[in-house]
Amino acid sequence: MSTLSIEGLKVSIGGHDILRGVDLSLAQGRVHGLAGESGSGKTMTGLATLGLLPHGARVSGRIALGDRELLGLPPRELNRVRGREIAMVFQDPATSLHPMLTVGRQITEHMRHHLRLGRTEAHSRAVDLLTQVRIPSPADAARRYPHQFSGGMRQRIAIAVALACGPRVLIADEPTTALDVTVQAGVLRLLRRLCDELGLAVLLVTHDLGVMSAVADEVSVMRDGLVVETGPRARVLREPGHPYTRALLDALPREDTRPQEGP
Amino acid sequence: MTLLDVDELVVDHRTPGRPAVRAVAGASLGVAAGEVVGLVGESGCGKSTLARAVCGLAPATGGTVTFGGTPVGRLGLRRRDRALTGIQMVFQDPYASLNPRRRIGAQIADGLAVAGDRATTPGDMLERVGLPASVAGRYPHEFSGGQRQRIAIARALAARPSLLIGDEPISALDASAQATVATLMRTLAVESGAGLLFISHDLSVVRLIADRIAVMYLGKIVETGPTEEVWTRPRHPYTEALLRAVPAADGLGRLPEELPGDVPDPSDPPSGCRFHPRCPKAMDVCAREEPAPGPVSCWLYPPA
Repeated sequence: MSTLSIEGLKVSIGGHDILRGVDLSLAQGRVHGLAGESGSGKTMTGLATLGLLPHGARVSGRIALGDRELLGLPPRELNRVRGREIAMVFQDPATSLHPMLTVGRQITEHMRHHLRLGRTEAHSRAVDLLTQVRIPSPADAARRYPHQFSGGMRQRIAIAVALACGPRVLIADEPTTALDVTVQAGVLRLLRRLCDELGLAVLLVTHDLGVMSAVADEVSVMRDGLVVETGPRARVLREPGHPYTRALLDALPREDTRPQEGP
Repeated sequence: MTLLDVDELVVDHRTPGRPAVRAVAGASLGVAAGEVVGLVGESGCGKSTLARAVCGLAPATGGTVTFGGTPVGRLGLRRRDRALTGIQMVFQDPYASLNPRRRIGAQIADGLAVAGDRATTPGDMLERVGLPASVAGRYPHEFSGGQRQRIAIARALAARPSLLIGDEPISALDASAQATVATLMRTLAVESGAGLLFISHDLSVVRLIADRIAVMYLGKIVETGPTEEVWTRPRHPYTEALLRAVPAADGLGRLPEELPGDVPDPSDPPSGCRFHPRCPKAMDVCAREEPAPGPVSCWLYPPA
């Protein structure tokens, strides 16, 4: 059964159709990769799921978390879902973390608000979470500020913040695009492990088909606000059915696409 | 003959009240005419600082940079030495490197004037980078990131450089534009007989366009060699780790391998080989003595 299912999602902003009927379904313990070039609507799909669309956006379709319809929920109820049942990790951890709050505070704030935990209990869970995302000396790290960590460590912290309230769904929007390959490898391994261990349903938005191939179980390819192809990773990446998927794969640097030199 | 010769270059970043950070710690590198050299490494390894020192934007603390026989000094307020206008650079962020208040044609015309070229028009240069000549009267904001980077390339090429430097020229672009812009830079540089020093952290793009790869780690070049050789038979453990971390779009679901540890603080580098604290093959000697520079700067491959 799918944890999160999106059906016929349409979004238009200022008369422009951004999403034109997107269908997606996320299952527990699976990573669903969403590919496509910028402007194809990948990020908007993620934002719509959290009800974070810009002011004046018109939305229709269905977004169901289990058997609960999220579209049209009043803001108060949506706030209970956001952060608690669906959490998000953004591309740039330098801007998604609050620069003036300690790492510990950013994790405990959610827990105290959503789960009504006491100070001590929240703190000890924050340290557990930092251990889980493999931050060295977690108790000490909780007292430090984001700028005292490297980019890769900050993204791990952002993941810990997202996991604070034990969400069922994690939306990760280009979580490794700002990182070096060596650091990216660590964060991808972490995402995969969390998905397996915690049974998270992950929506991984990325333009990098290599990243997709490494961690996604299912792959959907978007273009111009529509999902043009969806299927198991190996099938979509090895035997793409849609010409656009093939074009994306062909755009990757490969030896046989090396430019010919003139005489 | 080498066009650009960087010999034992040292560049320090000084901040008052703090120890100097040695961003480039004795790096040697050459670029020949018509050759494309890809410089790769993690962020903070000093590759951009090296590029800035090559065109005089960062003062060298030690070592030399020679361009076509002329030493490259620090770029001051005055007009640059005529001999050095043969070095042109394409910067990372085309949103910042183009003047937003001047028409793109006028910015390209600056380069043509430097080269004393009266026959070529800005429109001709735009056509060479795949844009219509008719857009010369527009302003930078009217273009997408990929198009702006093409304009920056046209401007750099207008000055008839014999050495083109690209400092992460594609990392601000869309994935779909990255390979095309990189390939365009290679084609145009090679066609005009210029050398290209292409700096990027994206190994797969460097593989696509470079003839030779130089791998940098914490201010030093640890391995250089022909692209295919380095790619298929990396010798330095750092190069191996870097290549193993690149995920392949093969649909097999293989997780890339992690390189444990962080890049050390360049103001306090490790003793001996700078990579030894993270190196899976480290030996006793690695912590004590620095390996000699060479095609592979590693104790596993002592110079013959």
